[in-house]
Amino acid sequence: MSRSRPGGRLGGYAEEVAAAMRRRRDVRRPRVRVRIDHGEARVLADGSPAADRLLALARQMLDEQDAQVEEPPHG
Amino acid sequence: MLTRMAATAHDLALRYLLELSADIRGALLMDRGGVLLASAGLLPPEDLGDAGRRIVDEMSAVAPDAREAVEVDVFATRGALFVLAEAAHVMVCTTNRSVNPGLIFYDMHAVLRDIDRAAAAERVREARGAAGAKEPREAAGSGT
Repeated sequence: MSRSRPGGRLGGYAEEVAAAMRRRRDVRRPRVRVRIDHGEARVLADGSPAADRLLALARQMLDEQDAQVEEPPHG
Repeated sequence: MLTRMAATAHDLALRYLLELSADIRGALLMDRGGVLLASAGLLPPEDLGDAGRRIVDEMSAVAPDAREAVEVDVFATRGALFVLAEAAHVMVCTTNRSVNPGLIFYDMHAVLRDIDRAAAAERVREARGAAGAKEPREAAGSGT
């Protein structure tokens, strides 16, 4: 026996789309994760000093790398 | 004048890492003090400045009392950075965003273990060599 949801079928689709968008945004959000001595991994809080410094370092190295792709070394 | 230099064991290890995983675009190897030992792929050492040393400092700050290994993965907008500190070395890799972190760390662990094993074997060989050089002198000394 099927049960109808309050928002109907259209509302269900809208919820699914919104959830998919949220997941997509979460996946693409910058994050820093740390795992010590093979233990449980933890994600550093957004805006924490350590996370900000590591993100800045990562961005710097990735920019250097992209610059290498755009201007390959001669010779 | 340009001279061709022989690749060190560290260089070869990083090249092997890049062959293990096509997702890894660049790699660095440093000691625990932040001294650069080797680089491969799209991370030329001359363009990095002191980024390597700062990464080592951050690893110490994030996990000051780690005994075995520290893994850090940073997913930024344009790619991802993986850092593994284990035993005497710190390894850094850059990839694109669409990678499985577990697989990247698996390859990094494998290569770092090989490097540590090779270093241990080298130490044993040097110790044997030193002992071998000492023995004939002692033998000669005992004869007189």
